[in-house]
Amino acid sequence: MAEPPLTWHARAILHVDMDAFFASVEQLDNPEWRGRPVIVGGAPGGRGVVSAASYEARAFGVRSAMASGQAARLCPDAVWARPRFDRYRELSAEVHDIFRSVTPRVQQVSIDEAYLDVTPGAYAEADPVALAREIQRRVGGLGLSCSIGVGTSKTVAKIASDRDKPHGVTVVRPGREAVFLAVLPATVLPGIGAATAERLRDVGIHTLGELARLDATSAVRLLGSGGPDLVARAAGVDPRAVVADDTVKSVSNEHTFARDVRERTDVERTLRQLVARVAVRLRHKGLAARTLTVKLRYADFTTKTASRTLGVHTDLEDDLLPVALDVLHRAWTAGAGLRLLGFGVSNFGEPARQLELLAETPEEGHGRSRSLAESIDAVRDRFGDDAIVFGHIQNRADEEDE
Amino acid sequence: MKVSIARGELLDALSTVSKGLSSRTTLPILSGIHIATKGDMVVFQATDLEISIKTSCKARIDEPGQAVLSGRLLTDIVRSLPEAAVTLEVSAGGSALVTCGQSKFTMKTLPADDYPKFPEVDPSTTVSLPTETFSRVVHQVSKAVSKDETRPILTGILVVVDSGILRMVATDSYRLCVREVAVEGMSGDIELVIPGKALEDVAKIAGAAESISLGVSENQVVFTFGDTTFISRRIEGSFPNYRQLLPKEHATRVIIDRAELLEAVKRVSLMAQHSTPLRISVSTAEHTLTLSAAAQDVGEATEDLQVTPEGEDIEIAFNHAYLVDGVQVAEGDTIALEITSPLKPGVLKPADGDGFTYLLMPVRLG
Repeated sequence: MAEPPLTWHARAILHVDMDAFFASVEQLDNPEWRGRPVIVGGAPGGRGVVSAASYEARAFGVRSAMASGQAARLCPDAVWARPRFDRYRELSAEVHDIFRSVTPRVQQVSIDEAYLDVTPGAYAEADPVALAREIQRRVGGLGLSCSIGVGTSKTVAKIASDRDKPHGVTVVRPGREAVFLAVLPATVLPGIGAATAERLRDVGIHTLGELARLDATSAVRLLGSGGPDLVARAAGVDPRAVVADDTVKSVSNEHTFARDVRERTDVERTLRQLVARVAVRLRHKGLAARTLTVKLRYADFTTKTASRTLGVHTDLEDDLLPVALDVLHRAWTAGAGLRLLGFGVSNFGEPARQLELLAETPEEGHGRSRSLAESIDAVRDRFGDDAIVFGHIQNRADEEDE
Repeated sequence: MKVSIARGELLDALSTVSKGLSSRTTLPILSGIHIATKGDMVVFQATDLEISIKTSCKARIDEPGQAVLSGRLLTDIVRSLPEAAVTLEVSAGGSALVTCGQSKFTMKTLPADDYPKFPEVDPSTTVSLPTETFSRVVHQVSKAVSKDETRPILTGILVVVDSGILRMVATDSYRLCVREVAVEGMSGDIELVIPGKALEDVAKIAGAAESISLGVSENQVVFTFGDTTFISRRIEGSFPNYRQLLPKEHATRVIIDRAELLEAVKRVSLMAQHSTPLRISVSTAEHTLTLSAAAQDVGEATEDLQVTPEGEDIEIAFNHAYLVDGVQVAEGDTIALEITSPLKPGVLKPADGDGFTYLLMPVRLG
């Protein structure tokens, strides 16, 4: 029997983008808000910003990240809702379950966006376009809406999903990538921001078709080291695979010393640094760990690890450091030369804290640790890791500079 | 010294004083049980310098004397013997011969003259308590005793006798248990903190005696029951003012069958290994109390119980082991769980009546 003419003989990637996700959830949970402009974010009285706006609100020009005051002026009749991230995560997980029932290759990019590899014969059986429609229908069953791009690469699928919003399915069949992309403005390509677009315009490049013809040397000059990749993507060539979300099993950091160290203070200072870095990464990933491991490599290359499990999950250096130091001192005797020190945590779970009856103010001590850690994270996010460091770590850096 | 004692009575005496054996290896003499004749009785003693225990039993005395023998070894030997007369013969040369039927053991003795003198306690106040009541109350509050030696006062139980009421209180700062019971005919007023371990030991070994007399001196407390004297030091310092910790109001109150709750908590706790918190959520509309626990990379457990809630819907999380302890020892077949907020202590008490309060601090999530 002859194959149907439109069989998909190539890699097939779906990009699923939820339509006005937060606002849709609010409209789902508050039926009286359906059909009305809904804005999720800090109320206009304060200095908040818009987290999300329903399509009804977008019609008035309201956009994400806009100051709430401005949004209120554009759309005075909007319903304002405070974000309920727990609820969004809950529904996001349900949507994710739908994806996982279609293919094992799901890469969740954010709470409302994912790539799925549905290559026929490899990860899925059905036709990719049929699968896209099925996903849309099942997401609709949750009371939500999504738009889907179907293509042979992540770039094409991502750009396609944005072509027909809300509730669209945009298909770019194998071999049609370059044609589809050629007429689109260069700014639709992820990685081309306003400043880059301006530089491209200066050399007469407005569309992806024009960008696709750029030679490698000019690409590097105009777009930096990633330029050639962007040019290839503008032509629809993007070999990046959909990387299934593997659950993180551990977070660790190591430091190899320039020369073997023997001094207790040097080793402790390095451990403090490692613990602080690991804690920051834990908080970034939203993880909390219970098991700590200290890794030691001696001058003769023998390697030793020592672990300890805490009573509760934590993501704070104040909780991790005392235990890490104790583990270090049980495993290492000052004077033994070390060439490498590592610190890692595993055994993840919910950050939880057993509260105490007899503490002066039960929340005080721990609350301070957390708000300090979060403030430091915020400074580092904005100004870089070295922007703010603890005194005991700083000392060392100064000495090394001398 | 040569004495013969029925195996059962000897084993009882040895087991009783064994609670006082020291595990510290720095003073080997304290690993021994001091055995001495007194009239037609044999007196056994052990001490770890914190507690001292003395008991006696009838014996056939062929030759009076005294000796110190390894407590663990002698107890193990006697436990293994058949039910018959056991003869203990100590020679001047520093060894002892234990015989029973066809079995013979010789063991080295420890120098009896080095053994600490049994403390003399002159109690200023003495109260008498029925053993059954005493043991039950100790069992209930001892779960909340702290094992953290850095706060010694919390390793003890506050014992108060006041106007015919016996009250014991313990807290490890994560939970607090208060038990009050009226004791008929009890007189005298006392208030002191006694090491939790000592009270538990007394409760264990006093089983056969009808009543326990509790005498208090300035630094020590002496329990006497049957032929046994048990002396413990008191814990210095002031016990936390537990009354101010007891919540005066609550937002949610759930009446629940104790056995049913215990079973459910134990089941869900299988998924709450280590310190994964156990969540409780109460729905007044659905008349349910839902227990759940999720352990990363392991799985999840949830169980709905039909209950009679009053007040608001609420969610709170507890350390599952602390919750199991509380439900296990709570007074009454039907109990009340009272919750104020997810960051304030939850309270277990009898559904009707009072005399028992188990407070437990929640686990704060996120």
